[in-house]
Amino acid sequence: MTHSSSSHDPAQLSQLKAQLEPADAHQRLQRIWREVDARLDQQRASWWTSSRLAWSGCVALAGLALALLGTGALDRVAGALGSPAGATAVGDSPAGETAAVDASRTGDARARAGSVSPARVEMEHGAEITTDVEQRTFELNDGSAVSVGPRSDLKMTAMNESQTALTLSRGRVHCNVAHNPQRDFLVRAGPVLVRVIGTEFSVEVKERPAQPSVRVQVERGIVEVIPREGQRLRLSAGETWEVDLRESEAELSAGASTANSSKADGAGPASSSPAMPTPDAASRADAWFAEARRHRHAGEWRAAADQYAALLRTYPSDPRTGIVALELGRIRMDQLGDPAGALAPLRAAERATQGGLADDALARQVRALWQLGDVPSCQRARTRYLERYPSGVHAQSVRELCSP
Amino acid sequence: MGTVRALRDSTPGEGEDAPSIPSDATLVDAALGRQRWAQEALYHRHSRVCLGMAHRLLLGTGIEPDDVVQDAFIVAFERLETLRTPAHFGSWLGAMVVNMCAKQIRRHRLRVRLGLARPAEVDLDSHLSSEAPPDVLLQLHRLYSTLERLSVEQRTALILRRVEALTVAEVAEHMGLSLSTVKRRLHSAEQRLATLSQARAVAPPARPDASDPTPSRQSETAS
Repeated sequence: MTHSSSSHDPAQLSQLKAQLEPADAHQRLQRIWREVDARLDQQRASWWTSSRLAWSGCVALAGLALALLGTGALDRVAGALGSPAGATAVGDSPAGETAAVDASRTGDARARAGSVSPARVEMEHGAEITTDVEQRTFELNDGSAVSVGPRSDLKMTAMNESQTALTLSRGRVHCNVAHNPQRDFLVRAGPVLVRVIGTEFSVEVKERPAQPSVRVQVERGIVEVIPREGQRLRLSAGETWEVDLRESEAELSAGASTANSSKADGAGPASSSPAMPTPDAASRADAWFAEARRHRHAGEWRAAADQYAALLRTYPSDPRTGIVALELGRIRMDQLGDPAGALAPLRAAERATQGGLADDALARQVRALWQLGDVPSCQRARTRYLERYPSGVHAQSVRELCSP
Repeated sequence: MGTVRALRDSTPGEGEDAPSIPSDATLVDAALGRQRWAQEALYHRHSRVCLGMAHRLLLGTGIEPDDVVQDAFIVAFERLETLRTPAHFGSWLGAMVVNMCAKQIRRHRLRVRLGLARPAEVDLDSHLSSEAPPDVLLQLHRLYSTLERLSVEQRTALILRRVEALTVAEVAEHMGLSLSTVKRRLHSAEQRLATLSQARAVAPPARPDASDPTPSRQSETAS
């Protein structure tokens, strides 16, 4: 076989492949899995039903014999084995997992919400959403999508040409906001107002008796946080900000990404932190952190992971260790398709962010172990999560994992 | 994966409670019993590779790789009992993806020939990193701009070998062909590529349909 020139140099071959990786692979793969899973659900149900039908045939014969004997026991036997409807219910949500949409103030919204489907419904001005144990997704008239977490109360307080406003009084809301410079998108949670500048983010009200708080987490774009007291500040993608409701004072969540008052002026990441050993080390760590963020924003996932790993190794006492480890785990899991490699940083994140993002880190461990097919470890991690955070934001999704 | 492994070694907490990751064979056994967790684990383990391969095989054709990957997994789980060696799930699935991609390209070319579809534009730049080395960019441009002139088999073999960096034996396995057939396909594809590159160097590019109407019609029409 003859091959042309240098084209089969292994190093060069791998370069060709590396330059042609599909964009947004994680999101696309998640969407594909939903489609595949839905199709497989039908198969599972029909497989289960066919098994069931075989049993039903036996029951019918037995029932016929019983009927002939005039015992009338057929109904009881069939009932004990379940109805055909029971067979088709395989894969459905467990009973009681419903979302209540209370739109009593707007008849129109109620009419729409009345036919609420498990997937998406539209949400209009005045609508009040209360979820039980399941997350619900709504589309707003402006094209934005709002996912209301389990055990949450959300109200749409304004919906007009200049403003979309939501008030979260309990739980968590995740917003994917359609960019519109003419219209403000606002979310109020207790004393905090979040103003969006075209982005994807979530707001959570934590009702922990010991430490009630509001947390804002930005996944894409920029939001402006306006506490009732204190300076407004801007958060960029990947940053988390948390306020302790007892003190009603803006402060950074322990170990979370830095976002202090200096950012209100649009400045970059915080340049100092009291936990850092020396100013030199602090500024070097900042530079590494900024470099990692630059790679992440550019979608250069391997380079970002490399930078985060180096940051963890070199500055183990940096106050951002928790968020960096969590971010590293997230990138390895979601972007590099390496759930096994994600486990170690996720464990480190769990240890470093007690009370902060530890529940996120633990929930991700459950999912990583599930993706790896390690059911026993997955079940242990799930038990740990549910014992520590029985009403955590991930409790429902974690419950659905690890069951063989 | 070399980079990932190196990074993993340097991460705090490494080595603690190493998960007992089940093999493909174990997962296939469980998936045969319609166990959702096993199907999902197999999906997560292999889907990224499949999507990447379908993306590169279909680039410039206008065919959506996501649809192929979706169909491949559905068919794979439907026909799982036909898999003789459960440990070979990955290569079996890969062959399925390759076969589906080739089938889609043949169908698309036939539709173009019948006037039912338009030939897709090769917009390689939108898929390439801006930091790609110039020589790599040049090679990819050269390769993908000539693929439409090759038969589907030549095209598939060439991408698997030159872009996916598979060995000739692996290409044969993925395409379900003998080693010697793959070698012939690769040889003819490389020659054709060289000829087209030379022609391109001395003359402005001609219209694909007019200049070279003979990219193995036999294989194109066989869908």
